[in-house]
Amino acid sequence: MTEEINGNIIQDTQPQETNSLRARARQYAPVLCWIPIVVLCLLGVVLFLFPIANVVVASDARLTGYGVFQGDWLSGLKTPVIVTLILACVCLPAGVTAAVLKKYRTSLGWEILAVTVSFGLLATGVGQAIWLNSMSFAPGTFSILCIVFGSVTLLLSGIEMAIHMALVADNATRALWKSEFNHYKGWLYLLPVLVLLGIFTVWPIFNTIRMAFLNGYKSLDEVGGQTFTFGIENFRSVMRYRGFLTCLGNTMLLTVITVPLSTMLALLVAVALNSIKPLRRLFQTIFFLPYVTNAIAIGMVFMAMFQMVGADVGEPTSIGIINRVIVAFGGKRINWVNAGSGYWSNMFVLIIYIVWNALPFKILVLLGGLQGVNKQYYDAAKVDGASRLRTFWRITVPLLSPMIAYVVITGFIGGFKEYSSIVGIFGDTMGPIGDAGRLNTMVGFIYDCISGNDQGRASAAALILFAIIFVVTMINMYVSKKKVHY
Amino acid sequence: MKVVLKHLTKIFPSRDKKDKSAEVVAVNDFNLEIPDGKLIGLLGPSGCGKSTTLFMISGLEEPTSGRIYFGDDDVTALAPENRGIGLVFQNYALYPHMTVQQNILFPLQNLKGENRLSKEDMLKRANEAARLVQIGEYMNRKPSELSGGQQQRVAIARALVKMPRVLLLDEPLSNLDARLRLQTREEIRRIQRDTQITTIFVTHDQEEAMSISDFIVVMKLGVIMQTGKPQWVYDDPANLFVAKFLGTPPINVFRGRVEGGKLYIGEENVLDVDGVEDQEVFVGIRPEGFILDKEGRMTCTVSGVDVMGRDVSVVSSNEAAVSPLVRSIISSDEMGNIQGTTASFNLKPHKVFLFNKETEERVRFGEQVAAHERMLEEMRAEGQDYTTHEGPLPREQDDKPKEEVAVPEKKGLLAKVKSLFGKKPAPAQAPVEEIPAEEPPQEPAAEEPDSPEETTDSEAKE
Repeated sequence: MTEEINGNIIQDTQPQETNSLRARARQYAPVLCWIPIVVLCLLGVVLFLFPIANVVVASDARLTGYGVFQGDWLSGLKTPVIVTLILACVCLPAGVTAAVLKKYRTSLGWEILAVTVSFGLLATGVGQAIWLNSMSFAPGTFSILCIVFGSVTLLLSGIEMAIHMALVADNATRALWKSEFNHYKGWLYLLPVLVLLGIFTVWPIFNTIRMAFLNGYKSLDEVGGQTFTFGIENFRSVMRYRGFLTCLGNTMLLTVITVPLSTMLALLVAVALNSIKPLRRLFQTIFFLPYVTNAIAIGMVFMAMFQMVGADVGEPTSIGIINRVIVAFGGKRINWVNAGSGYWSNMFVLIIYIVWNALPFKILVLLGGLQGVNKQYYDAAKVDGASRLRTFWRITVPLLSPMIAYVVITGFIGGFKEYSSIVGIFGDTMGPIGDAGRLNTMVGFIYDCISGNDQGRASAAALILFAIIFVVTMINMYVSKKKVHY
Repeated sequence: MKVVLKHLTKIFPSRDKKDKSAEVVAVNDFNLEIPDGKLIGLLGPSGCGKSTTLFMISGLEEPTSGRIYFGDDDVTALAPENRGIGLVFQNYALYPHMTVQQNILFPLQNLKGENRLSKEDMLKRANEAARLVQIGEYMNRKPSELSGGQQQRVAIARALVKMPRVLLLDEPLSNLDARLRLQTREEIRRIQRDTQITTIFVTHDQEEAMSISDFIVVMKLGVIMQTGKPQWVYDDPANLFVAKFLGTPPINVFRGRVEGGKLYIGEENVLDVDGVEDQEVFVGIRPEGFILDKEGRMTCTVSGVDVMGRDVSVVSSNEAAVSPLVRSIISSDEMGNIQGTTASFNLKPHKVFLFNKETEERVRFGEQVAAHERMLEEMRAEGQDYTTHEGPLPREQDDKPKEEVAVPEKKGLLAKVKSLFGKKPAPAQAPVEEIPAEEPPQEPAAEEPDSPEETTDSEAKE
């Protein structure tokens, strides 16, 4: 080894770039690397900001005819919004008051957190409940219900505090009760959440399973006094149903294409964002904007970008911006989403939209992961002579693999539940005019069954969807266990 | 490979780039010639710029000015991968997702063109490197499954596998426990001797640097204070900083003065120093420079004696000492010479160093002048440069009187802001708050009444 090292030192690692031209090229290389990044960022700005700007301005007259921007949508929202606001106004002072009252005690952090979070969840739960049109309660009833809940929580908290204050004087008793008391207190604070979870999550899940296994179950018929036999007829009927395979196929196709695509794009954007310093915060915000916008509203903007008005009756009266660009570059305009459009052009629009919509969350998670990677690994890779590409594949990707796995798993779950994007672009007919239901998905199928008062079949389909998601997630976990470095 | 650093300077700009006063000069006009095949230690307190120097040699940091030569090649503008260096990071930076073998192979797999080896050759080289650092049996483990010392050796193997011209080690031992540190530094020494690769070693631990380096460079605030063989630097420090930085236990420093060829510490004439002009001095005396003697010329008040096997460390105090404790190491045979609480010492002249009080530079006397000449000659014979810092010594920023002026200004601002909110200015409050913290003895007394209650507590639980 000794001799070999001595002998090889000069031969092996003699620098080859002593001539000035290559040295100079190396000097300018970092500047050149900036160009794709800048282009990417600008592209990101255009791609991400344009649809959002469109929503805000709502300048396209075609949108206003669609219903969402008509006058009555706000009034429907009014009650839950007001209730949530009122509750928020209650929770915040409640938390603060609790903090002030309990100042004399050392452990108060998590208690206040529990109180505040319970109220927050209460507000969300109630908001959700009001959203469900099928609920037989009137919104008013719910406001009362939540106020009762809130008061009970406050009251219990107050009583607990009173007891506690009384006990402060007596050290021995306090020590005796301390451990027991803390346990009971934890459950007390969790109570509102547990009740809400029970009502709005556990019971519906249980009910779904029950309905799925009651042959031909219909809630209206049950109200009418009919009884149902136990069996798997609902599952059979789902399988036999003509639209089901289309829905399953569409769902699978969309998921399999969009998840890898959006993950890879997100990884690229995250790495690019991570490598720039100036304006990073700005770009981060811009790339995150789609996440905070409404999926259906943006979907309609996408439709407006792709559509051709009046194409089905002859020469279109106006065409969307995408076709304008195609025409401007000398291409032939394509019927993307209107009557008579092809399946794959529909799918193309959907895929672009879903990927666009899925990117922000993934970018955020991956960027967070990237920023957690120790910079020294990159220094070491630099000293070891790894090229940028090799550093990316051999260092960045493996070190980021937990984040990538997370993004892929949640991406698959979200992909299988795809629904709102199709409603956004094609409306609740789930397909272009004249071809309704062509782009329907599993969740769409379930909704259709519910609106046909066929809860049994809907429940069966929901369980099938759950099984699919479960199996795919298990596969994901299995693969990631082998490939992911934690 | 000889490494030459010429006028190397690194300035880190302040966050606000226009603010020139806040920029940090990490390395200041650094000139050094590192001979081929030697192991040299860059030594200094933390923040003295030694790691920055190392990273500039590696190419990871770009020097603000100055040039770096490997042999005759100017490598200043070369990227790290083209310099032919191996770098071992302080926390090793082993790729956590790769096995030991993959880690060691990684630099080889990155080679391109004619340098690229066949797969068998790569494996052969990796195995050789692994054998050299004795980790052959762990090739299929992940770094997280190795101990600190083993990880460290993997890092060295990864640095060595591409046959670097220069091996750079950034505080390689600081993450190891004491026993492992001793073992590993022998290991590094052995590997360096076996491979004969020019090695630069950064550490803040003077003992570490002294024990394994052929040559040490003592740095302070980005400036070289002294270079030379460890023993020479220890025996002939060029200034007070070097004298204080080297040696455990540290050197004892006294305020003293020279009058008519006699050295006074306090009122005692402790040593005759011929040929030194009258001046105020700092006197540095190595712990081993004391001889216990009933008739000794220097007296100290003994406060304790630590017996450490063969040697005895006498802890005493002297009014003229800069630090409250004076440590002297004597042979245990001389123990009987301590009478009561006072000990009298004679001094070994070659262990006593005088430093001018103003410049803190060395003032040599008697034999020391000739010894210094001998050392210089020996150094020249070996082809090494003798470098010491010249001109005014750099000082820590908080030594500067300027800063002292700046602080009250800040306080004034703070007070102004506080007065806006109707509060008293901060300086008045601060001492009031500190007083209770300085009185720990009272606390146990305050707790006593509680203890009976605690017993009742436990009774109640039962």
